[in-house]
Amino acid sequence: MFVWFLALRYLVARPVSYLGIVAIGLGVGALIVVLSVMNGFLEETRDLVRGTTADIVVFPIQDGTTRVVPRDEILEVVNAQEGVAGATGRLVRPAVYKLHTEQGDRGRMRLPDINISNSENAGYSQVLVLGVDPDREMAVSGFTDYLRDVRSPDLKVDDVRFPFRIHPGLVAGHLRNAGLPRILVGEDLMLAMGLHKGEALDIVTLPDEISLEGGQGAKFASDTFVIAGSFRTGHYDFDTGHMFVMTEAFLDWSGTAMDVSEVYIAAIEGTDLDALRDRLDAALDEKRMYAEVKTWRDRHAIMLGAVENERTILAFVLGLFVLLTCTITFMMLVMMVQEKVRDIGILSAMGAPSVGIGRIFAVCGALISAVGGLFGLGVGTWVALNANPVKDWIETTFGIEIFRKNVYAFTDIPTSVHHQLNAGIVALTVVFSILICLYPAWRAARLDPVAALRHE
Amino acid sequence: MSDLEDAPSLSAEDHPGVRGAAAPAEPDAREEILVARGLTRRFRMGSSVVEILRGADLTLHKGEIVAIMGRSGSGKSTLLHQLGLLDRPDDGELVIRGEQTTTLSRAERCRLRNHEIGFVFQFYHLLPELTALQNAVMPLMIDHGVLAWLARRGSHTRRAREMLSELGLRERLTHKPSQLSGGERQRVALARALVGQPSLLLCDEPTGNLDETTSERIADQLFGLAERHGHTLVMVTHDADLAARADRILTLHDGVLTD
Repeated sequence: MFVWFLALRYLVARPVSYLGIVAIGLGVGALIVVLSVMNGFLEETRDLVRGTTADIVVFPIQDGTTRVVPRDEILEVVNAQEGVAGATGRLVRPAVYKLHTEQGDRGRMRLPDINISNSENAGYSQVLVLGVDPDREMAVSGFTDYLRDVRSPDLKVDDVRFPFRIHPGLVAGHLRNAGLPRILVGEDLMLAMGLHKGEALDIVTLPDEISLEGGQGAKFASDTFVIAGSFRTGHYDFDTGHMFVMTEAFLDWSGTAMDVSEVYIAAIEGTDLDALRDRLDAALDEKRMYAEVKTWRDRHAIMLGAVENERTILAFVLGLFVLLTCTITFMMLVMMVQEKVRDIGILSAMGAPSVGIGRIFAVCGALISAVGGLFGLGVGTWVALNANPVKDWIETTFGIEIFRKNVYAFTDIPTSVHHQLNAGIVALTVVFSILICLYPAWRAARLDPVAALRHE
Repeated sequence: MSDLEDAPSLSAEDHPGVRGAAAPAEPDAREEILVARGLTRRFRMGSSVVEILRGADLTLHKGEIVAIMGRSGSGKSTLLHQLGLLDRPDDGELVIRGEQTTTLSRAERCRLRNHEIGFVFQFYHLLPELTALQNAVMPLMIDHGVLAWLARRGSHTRRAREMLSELGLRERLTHKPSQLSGGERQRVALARALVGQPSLLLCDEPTGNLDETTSERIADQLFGLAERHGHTLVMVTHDADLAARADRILTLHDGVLTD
């Protein structure tokens, strides 16, 4: 009993003990906050990436050296695989666009008409145009949600089931009866450019093959598309860098011979995606359909890996900081043993066993780290759960910007508090503190009682 | 002394949590509490070895009061540390209440010291963070684990409180050593030494740090309690008057203990 009694007395009587508790609390708290933010960032990034891509994507290699594989043949192979819930073909083509004006000509443009190297000055911006089959797309990706999640009511499509339809009354007068194809533009892009439903965009892309022989250059493929509405995935880069058109309109516009650029595959929940990828790869090879097959993790491995790596580095650095605070406890205990040499002699004279005397100091170390760890757990968890109010308060109070929304794809600091992980951090801190406090405890236990009693 | 004389006598029956000691009784001169034979202790000082104790022989009986005198550096404190199991002899043997101590482990010596021996030091040696009551109860706390202590805390604390009250410290229970006078501190140390009812009380210059009046009062209380409870008392002192009150006076000269 004397072990706990004296350990508590020694701690309470020494203000420096509180310093150790605060130091460990700050270290643990900082580690918890950083890990929570990094976990939130990683999970949010993963969700965003996940929301704009399929479980698995097949990229047919159609580079002119292999035969052009028809979409339906690939879909037949893909749909035959166990674990595939659905699949759809997409066409993808990089393009430039600008707002259509009445003076703009509809039809093919010649190369000299625009300057690719200075396209923005020519009023063109870059985009990836996706040709999709709406019904199949809705079955495989979050396409329906993208349409529903649009926040501006006047930018929403007229009917989510038929997203490329638009009421003729909304189309600008001179375009109304031109039979123009429709396009869906990201809400962020529409707001940024001040676009409205019913307006039109001129979209230009390169044909499949470019011939510069005879100095005539290649003809660009171009068309004018009426904006039928917008979509919102929540991923800023995707929303401002992609546009959807229907497959038929895409083929008509681009003049491509291919009817599929990539096949989006939704897997049955619980399916091992890596195994399914390998099966698909083998099945396509067997049919002599050469393609790259990638899971969503494969496609974004570098970005997700970078975030994970950043999290690991920060955890490592802050882990070292926590260890440093533990060594403060160690030094405090070494000093405490030095100060309490006489007490150790007195306790020995009263018959206290040396193991018990050592345990007094081990318990001191354990209590400092445990209380400090719990303090850090409480503070860190609270800050992590209230990261945005705390950020707002700091920004308002000190007039500094600590989270730049235009740098990240998020409007708020994402956090994800993992209670088990945090409890593990506290447990490891306590265990490590106890381990390094064993040395001063051992020294206390080994003191010669006679020498201790004579200690000045 | 009136508070001491008026105080109720303490017994193991009154305090079931306290070990051992029977009710106060006439000292049994035949019961050997401590037998030391040929205790020798050497210390290395630089390249030479100095023999501080040279074959000290000593037998102490229950209730006996023995004073040990000698010049500074004659080995008195070393002998006391040997008798109190704080140090091991290089040669010789020491038997306490029939138990051969020279072969005991460190932990067993601690247990025996806690149960059978009480120390009173010249400089009190109280734990500064604790109150008088907490200091006094500490030997009992050391003897108990958490659960055992919680079960007996009431009776043990009551015993320590009564011991302090018996020594005139009823109003000083919650005072820390820094708030007590020298005499009060030594009485707290005396209460702490006696609370576990040890058979052997070892005092190292118990009045050496006190003024004459306080010394007399402490000595009265020390002898009174030892006689009343049948403790065997060994007292190292330079004070001839104090030593004269003992049953026996031993002299330590150059490490040799003589009657």
